[in-house]
Amino acid sequence: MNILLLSFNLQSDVAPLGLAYLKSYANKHHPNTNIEIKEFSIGQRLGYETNKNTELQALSYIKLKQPDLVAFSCYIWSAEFAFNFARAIKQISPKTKVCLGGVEVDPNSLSNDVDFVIQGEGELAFKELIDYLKGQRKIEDVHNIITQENGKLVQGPKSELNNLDDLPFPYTVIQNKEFAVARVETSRGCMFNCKFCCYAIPKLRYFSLNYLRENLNYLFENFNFKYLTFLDANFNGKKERMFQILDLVQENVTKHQMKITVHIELRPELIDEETVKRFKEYNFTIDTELGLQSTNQDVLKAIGRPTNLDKVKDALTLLNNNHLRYKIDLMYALPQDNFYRFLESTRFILRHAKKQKKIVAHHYMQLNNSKLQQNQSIKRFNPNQSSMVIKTESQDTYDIYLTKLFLDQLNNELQYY
Amino acid sequence: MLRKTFCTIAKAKNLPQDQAICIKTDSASELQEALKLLDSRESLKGVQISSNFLPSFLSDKNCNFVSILLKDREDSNLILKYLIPKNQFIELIIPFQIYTESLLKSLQGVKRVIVDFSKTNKEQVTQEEIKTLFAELISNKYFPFTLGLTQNQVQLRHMVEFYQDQITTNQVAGREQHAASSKEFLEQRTEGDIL
Repeated sequence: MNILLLSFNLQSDVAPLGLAYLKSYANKHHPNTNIEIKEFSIGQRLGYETNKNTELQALSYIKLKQPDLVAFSCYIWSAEFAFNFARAIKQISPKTKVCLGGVEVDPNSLSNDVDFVIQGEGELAFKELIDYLKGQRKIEDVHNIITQENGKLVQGPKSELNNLDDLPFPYTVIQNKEFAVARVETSRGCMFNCKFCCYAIPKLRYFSLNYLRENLNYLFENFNFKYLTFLDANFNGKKERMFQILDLVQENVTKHQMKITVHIELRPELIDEETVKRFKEYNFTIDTELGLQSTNQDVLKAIGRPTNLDKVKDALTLLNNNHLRYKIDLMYALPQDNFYRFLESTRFILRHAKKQKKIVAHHYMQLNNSKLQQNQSIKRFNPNQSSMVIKTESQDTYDIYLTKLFLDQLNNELQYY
Repeated sequence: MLRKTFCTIAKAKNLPQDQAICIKTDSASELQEALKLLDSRESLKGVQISSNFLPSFLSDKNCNFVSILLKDREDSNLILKYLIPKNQFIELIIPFQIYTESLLKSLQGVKRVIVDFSKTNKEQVTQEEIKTLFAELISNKYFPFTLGLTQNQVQLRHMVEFYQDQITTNQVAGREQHAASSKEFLEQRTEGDIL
């Protein structure tokens, strides 16, 4: 059996972590099944590229390889592309089975062009789908699967991995050994429950320190990279554990004499003096990303993100005084927000994030499977897919665009202050 | 729009070195004097000058913010020289009487456009005209900023006066769409804030 795990990425210099998890776990149980990861980059693609070279390239690859199954993940940047691509596969190779997974899919993703949808964590489901295709398992016993059989919808039982250490380290199946960015998960899930996000849907689980030690050693031993990104939503959720992991990085940086930057996302309220003291002592640069989103209490309540602003101020003071690198983000077009409230949030950043030279604010993209998807007053650009919000109960499209224009111009002017 | 102190040369001499300022000048000689004064300053170093007094070159070393009051459409040719990329923020104030969309298109690279109604008979400016103006501004990627209009005509966010301390909390009109939020924004503003 030949399986093609396809990726349409935005950056070709980032390791394809998600697909590598699928392949390594499936190959652990099906060592003789040929599973190939193939990436195509759509990052440089121009909107008016009418001859669709990337699609032709990927379809030609499929035509030559004739896989039994093509599986790919749908993220916010690739979902529309993936749905169109599934349709094209069925036109050139009707017998090839198509499976979609990733955060963007739901039962509605199933169609005549999509044979299987995996909703939720994919590793176990993908392995069990191979069991099914080999005749070793009934389709209704495949976890997290959604499909049709004899015209009837079949949904497998829901599951998430209890022991993350069961997953082989994904870098063991990645052929290319040079990346600008290596990404590593040390946990899955989130201790918070922000309504704009869906990362907290599975319960919070951690990889063991032994697992991380062994695999970080493997990563440093076998790969070249400049940036190491820990993907955890709140890397400082467990402070001691964070230090233990960064200690492991330090050991490897020393051993391999590498010069790297470690990128982590921190919950600002949890940053304390010990954290900045330890960060300063490491022999690599640490870039921290802090999510704030808004300073308005009504907005924070609407997005389910209680925030202690005094603690955020204290954290920023600590980072400023200790010359640590950080980026603190806002979001615009959130429910309950308006132009002036957003200006207040901006002013908070200008007052307290003294080391930041620009206001970083993201347009709120409403994600499928997030709690705010149930909020009927929020309208998004594409009602069927995760996409930018164009209207809320407190702002219309024009208000949102004005915020964007104001922000661009403010960042331009800020350079001269 | 960030806060800055608009001042005369005399006043500028007494302001702290790290305060963002924009010196208003009325002639070519005043402009030269202002530039000398700005040379040693930190933060935003700005001058405001009428387009008919614009020199052919303004170094970005001693002046990183230029606010140009457009006197005549013909002067736009002079302004074009300022749009050659350099380390300067160019703001253009266009009197409503001489504003045209083609002017906007010919001066792309200006970082901020403010349409000035202070010498226009405000009562004669219709909502339709404002709507058309704003549509032209946003389609050319400019936030619609105005000078000299009232809260009956535009929302606070479009009034330059709102950002430059010329409107107080008590002056926020009840009809303002987000009156409570805009009042709070003004109330929370402190001396050192640049927004």
